[in-house]
Amino acid sequence: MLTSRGWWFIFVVFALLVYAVLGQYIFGFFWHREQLQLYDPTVIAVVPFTLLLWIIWEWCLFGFRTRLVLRQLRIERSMWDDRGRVTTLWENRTFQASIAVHLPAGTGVPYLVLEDRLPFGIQEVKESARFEGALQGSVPEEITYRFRCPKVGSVRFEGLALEMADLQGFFYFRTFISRPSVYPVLPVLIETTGNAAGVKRHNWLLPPGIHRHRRPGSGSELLDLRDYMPGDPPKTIAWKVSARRDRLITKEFESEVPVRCTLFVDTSNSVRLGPAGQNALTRLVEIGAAVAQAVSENRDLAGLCLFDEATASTVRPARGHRHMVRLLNRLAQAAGLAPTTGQAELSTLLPLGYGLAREIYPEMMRPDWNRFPFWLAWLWPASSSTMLHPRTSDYLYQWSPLWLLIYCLMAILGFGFVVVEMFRLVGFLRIRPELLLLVLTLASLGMIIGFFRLPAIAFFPHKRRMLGWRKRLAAVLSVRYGLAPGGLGVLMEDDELFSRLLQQFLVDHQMPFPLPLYDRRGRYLFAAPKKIQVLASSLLRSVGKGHDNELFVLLADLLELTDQLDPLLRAIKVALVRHHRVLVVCPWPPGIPVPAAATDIKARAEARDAEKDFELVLYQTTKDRFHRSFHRLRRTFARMGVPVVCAQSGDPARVILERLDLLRFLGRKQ
Amino acid sequence: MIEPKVVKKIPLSDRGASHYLIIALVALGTILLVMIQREAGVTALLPILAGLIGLGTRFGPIVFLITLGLALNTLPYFGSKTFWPGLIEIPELLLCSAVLAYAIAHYRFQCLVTHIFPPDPRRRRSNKAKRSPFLFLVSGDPVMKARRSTGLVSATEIMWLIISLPIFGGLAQVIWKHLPTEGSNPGLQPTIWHAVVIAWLVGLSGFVVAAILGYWRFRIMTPEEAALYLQDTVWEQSRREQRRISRWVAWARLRYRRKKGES
Repeated sequence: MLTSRGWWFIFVVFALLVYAVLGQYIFGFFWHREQLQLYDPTVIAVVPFTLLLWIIWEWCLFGFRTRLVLRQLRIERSMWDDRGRVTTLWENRTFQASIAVHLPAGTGVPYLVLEDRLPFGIQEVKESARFEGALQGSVPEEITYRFRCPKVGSVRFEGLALEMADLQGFFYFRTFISRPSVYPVLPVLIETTGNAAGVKRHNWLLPPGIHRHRRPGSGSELLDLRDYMPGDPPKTIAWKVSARRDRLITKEFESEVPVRCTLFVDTSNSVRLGPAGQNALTRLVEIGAAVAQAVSENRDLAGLCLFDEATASTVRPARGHRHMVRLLNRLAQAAGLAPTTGQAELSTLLPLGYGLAREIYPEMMRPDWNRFPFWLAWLWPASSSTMLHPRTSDYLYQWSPLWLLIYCLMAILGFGFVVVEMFRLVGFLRIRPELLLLVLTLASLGMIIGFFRLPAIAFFPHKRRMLGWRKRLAAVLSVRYGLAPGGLGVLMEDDELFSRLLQQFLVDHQMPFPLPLYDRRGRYLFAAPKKIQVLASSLLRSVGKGHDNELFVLLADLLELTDQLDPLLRAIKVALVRHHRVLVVCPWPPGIPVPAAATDIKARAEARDAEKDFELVLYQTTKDRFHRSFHRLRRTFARMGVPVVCAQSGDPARVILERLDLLRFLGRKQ
Repeated sequence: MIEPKVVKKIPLSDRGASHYLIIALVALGTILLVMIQREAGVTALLPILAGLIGLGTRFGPIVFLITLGLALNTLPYFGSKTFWPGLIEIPELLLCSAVLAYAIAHYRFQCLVTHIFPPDPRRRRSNKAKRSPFLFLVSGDPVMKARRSTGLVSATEIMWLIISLPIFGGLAQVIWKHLPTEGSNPGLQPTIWHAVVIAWLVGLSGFVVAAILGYWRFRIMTPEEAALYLQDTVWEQSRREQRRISRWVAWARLRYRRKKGES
């Protein structure tokens, strides 16, 4: 809390006080007794004493403000667009954030700086999200700035970073006012007329005897003619036919039953990979949102099923504005998901998590509340037997007390040896005793400093620091995720649990972090094969509850699972037998060109030309692998008549809508 | 940590900065008058010169205070002359207030022109254009410093500054003069006993204030903070047992997974 400026000032004030009190002894060497009798330290003492009283007052005032006044700081956040206050944000649109900051009446802070911590990926458009100046209890202040959300998902505003100092710069305080608020960022509303299948490519006139729906209803297309029955509306009487047949004939019209479309969106780890806003999941969500909006605009019913490796959540097909907003909210939540794996390297995640926790939860990271004795890292190191992938240094570090003991013994022996040799040398050179004492003192001092300094530098400094960070972070995670009181001890030892919770912590705070893609044996960690079973079960459930003419769109990443599709294929067969339609939209990894015959040929030629360039060869191999997987996937589904569309190529939303339209016109044969 | 705002160099003619410059100069003038009244002679100029030079440096008040301490002790007039017998002596009050005013004004001025928050060496401004060929001699790019905006200097803070000067000066005199020099003295020199009493007073008051603030801090803990504190206490008292149990459990789980071939 006290800055170096403050320390220097206090030091000088105390030095002056001591000088005033002991002045007569200092000047006693130089002055006569009569002169010394006139000495009165009052003047010299009162000046630094004034300064001392003032700085003590400032210290108390600052402590009071930081500990009590700032705790009562209230902030209210609101989001505005051009029309008024909003609770949801939209992709690629500009909004204004307004944060009202106020203290209770009668309190105040002379100087502080407040800055809103912007979520990762938010673009500040205008004005600065900071406030600088005095804050009075009677006058609320407001921070306003404009920002843009570039990606679908959700944004989490953590709160305000606060820095405070007295006007002299003697005291400094930094904290974080945590007031998290989460706003969903919905995909932007599209022009549905553009996506509707309005272009007539084929003559869709139905063959004689085939109708969209067999049931009569109140549509406009003629379905059948039948004898008039009492109660039929007179306007449906076919007068010409009645005249020909000499009895009353009534027209029956088609039923305008809406077509249902259920979107199965893959939210497993395999599609969450990649930079936020540019990963496969974002693309799937965009497609899903566009289709849902277009379907809703056509007065059809749209349903949604979000599935991952373990669970699936379904929203039954419905229509209406509220249903639409619900779907978009679910999609936006899904877009914000981040990948996690228990195989992540703790050495990579720990600094990120520790830095984040120190920034956002400074109170919980205080060393007097969240303690870690320094000697613990020396005497009780982490065991390599509980590590996922221990290294040589981990094996060595777990024996740290033994190394320390050996070091102490060797140091004592070395120290004794040096002293003995020095005495011998002194005896040989016949040095004066005063000089000998000086040399011995200096040598001993140097050796003592070296004795303590050397192990601090050489004995696993990085691992000791990491252990301290881990303990502090484990305490925060344990409280945040509601573990039992022994949770802290478990997190200190269980690497996998700690890694998962740490990733969850980073994900919750929307902090991107690197993850390994392959394990030690070269297996891909994010294939998520369990999702096939979940998807198949969800599809069967939807088929079981389905009505006529449904379209099931599977927006799923199946590229890595072409050999494990059997459960899904069985479920699709069931759907097709029940006269439903199925379409697969496969997300495509960013940076890899979409599959096409021409590019394949070109790519192979490029690969031949650049065989020596390792990176290019690696890239080509990856690309070829993806293309092969895609073609295999296509072939597998084509056998059942299920088209597979690449999410990156063309406009998959349009393809889905065309399928939907086809379904509407073709229907079932009578 | 908040990124410091990059601001241009503050001219001395700036309104906010000039207020404190004027206060510092007036304080130096007052000190000069008091020293002349004390017949300090040429030595009266020493602290004034140190103060004037120190205005442009970070260590101004420190050099100034040391010089003033030396100047006040010069022969033959180092003793206190009572002009106003009573509770408060006006020349001393003026001297104390002026010294305090100079110190406050100097540090506030420094906050406006250099930095108010302590500079963080991790935050540096990249200055590629002005990169010196002898860069290896210095620590690297300049550290970013957070200054206080000069526009924030208000009349209220100046008013409170001026009001506080005689209060602290007078209070210091009253306390110093009324401290017991004889009572309970175990035989020390009166001045030393004075210092001991003051040290006890300051220490005890600091202890009491810190205890009250600390206790109050515990009272207003959030539930999460309190849970963390309690959990940390449990861990501290049973960490060996917790470590032993958790280590075995983690080891068994890992072994099971390795057997299954999952990792």
